[in-house]
Amino acid sequence: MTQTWHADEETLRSWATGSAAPLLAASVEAHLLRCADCRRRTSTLSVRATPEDSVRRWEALADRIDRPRSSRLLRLGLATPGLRTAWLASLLLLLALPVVVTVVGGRLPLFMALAPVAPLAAVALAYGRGAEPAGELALATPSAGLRVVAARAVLVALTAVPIGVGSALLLGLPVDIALGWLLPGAALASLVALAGTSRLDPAVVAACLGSTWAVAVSWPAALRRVPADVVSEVLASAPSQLTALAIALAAVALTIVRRDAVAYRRNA
Amino acid sequence: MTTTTHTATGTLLETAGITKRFGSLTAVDDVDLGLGRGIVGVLGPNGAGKTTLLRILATVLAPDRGSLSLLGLDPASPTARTEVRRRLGYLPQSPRLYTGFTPLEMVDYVAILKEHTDAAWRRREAAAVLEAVGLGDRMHKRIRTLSGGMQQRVALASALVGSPDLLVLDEPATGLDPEQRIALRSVLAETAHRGCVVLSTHNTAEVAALCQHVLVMDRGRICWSGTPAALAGEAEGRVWESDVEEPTALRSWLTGPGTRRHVGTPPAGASPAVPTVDDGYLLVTRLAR
Repeated sequence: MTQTWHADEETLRSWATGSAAPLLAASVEAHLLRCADCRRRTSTLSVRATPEDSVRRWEALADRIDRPRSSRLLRLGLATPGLRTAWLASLLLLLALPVVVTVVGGRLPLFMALAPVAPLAAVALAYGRGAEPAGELALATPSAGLRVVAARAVLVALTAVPIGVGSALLLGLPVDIALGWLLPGAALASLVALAGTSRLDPAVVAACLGSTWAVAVSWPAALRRVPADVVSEVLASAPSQLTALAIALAAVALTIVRRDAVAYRRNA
Repeated sequence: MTTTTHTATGTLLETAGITKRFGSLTAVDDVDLGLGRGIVGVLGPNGAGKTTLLRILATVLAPDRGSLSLLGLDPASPTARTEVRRRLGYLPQSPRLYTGFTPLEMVDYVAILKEHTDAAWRRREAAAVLEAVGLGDRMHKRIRTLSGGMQQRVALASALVGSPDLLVLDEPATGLDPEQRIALRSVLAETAHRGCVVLSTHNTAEVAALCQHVLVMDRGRICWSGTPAALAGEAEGRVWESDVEEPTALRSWLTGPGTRRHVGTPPAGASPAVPTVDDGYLLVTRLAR
């Protein structure tokens, strides 16, 4: 094959001295393999490449090729099968809400009963064994403990917020109700976080809290004593919201105080 | 009993009366240790408390009682514990790996957990430790496609990342063939040169091949401590072979068709056999009961 172009002297010199950028160096190398003319010109350049130069070039190129594609945070958070499931489950729950509410009808305050379960599930799964790809080995590293659990939970729960609010608005719910689930959700999630610092299993606590919340919110309307929209309005009212905020803050504060318990293995 | 291996180089790992209970079971019972540089093997039957002791030394479990000093720091304090964990490598008994990662990604991930923020450094370090455990040619394959022994070595490489000063390895030689075991020895020797390696096994041959010092553990307690040669020496003059059952033997086992080996008090006229680490181990665990 005839070469139609040749590398200029400056490019060849930068390759020979090892100062070329990794991608340029690789490209020049590929060209030199096929072009006798450029090989000859390179050999007449008055430079001497040392073995260290080629090692350095190779390492720079390998760094580029092997560089992990996902970011650190993403690896800590969603690169794990446990969290991907959690993320998908909470997403599906929130996306399915408009459909469920349409099918079941407006008799039950379903949105308020189910939306806060998503962040609660996120925390429970962040504590779960499946969330940590390195298992017990990770516990013996400086990152182990509440910090990494919290980072994972927040990462999953945060994706639930725009979807939850969006699906409420899709349902035609008023804005205060569309936003009204956030603080109850935060309160429930922080209680699960607190349970993780005790001997209780966060998954069991999450299941109990989640179902209790869903039943307690749906019950008055199911008995047809109170209309569904009144239940939602009561929950979105300032006193309920402030109570939820207080519970969330207290639970988070207690969790931080008790964070030492998360730094160790949960059971034998 | 207090067990010390440290010399003028100082103590890297010290425990005083550490105890860990699970319900009515005392897994680790009043253990005192003082270990310096070198490779220490913890030998004992299943259920002797080896894994619990190693978990405590790896800061993964907190002892119920007793005090602990690792690399001169007390892991009961959160800041000291984090500092210890920066200089610690741990291989759990049944390590779990995310099989969707390649070995390079897995080790890189553990390096992230160990707070190494320079990505280029992490890549070089991950490649170096994988090379050291003989996985240089597999570092870009998915972990799920590797054999059990190779997966064990990926976990070992994760423990070695960042040149820890304290290495706690729970049955590191499981799934390794004899050649890989020799390679493991040279990898561990490098750490032992500057720090302390504690490993557990229930294989006496491994201890003899890998360790400078042996702790024999039984029912939560350290019942013997010394060099592998000294452990074999315990059975000096107390091991013999015959073709019949011996009433004075503490333990007897068949070694070939009709041939039995015994440890205990040999009867008059019995010709003593050359003791092995196995004999010494069987003798001290039986005497401890």
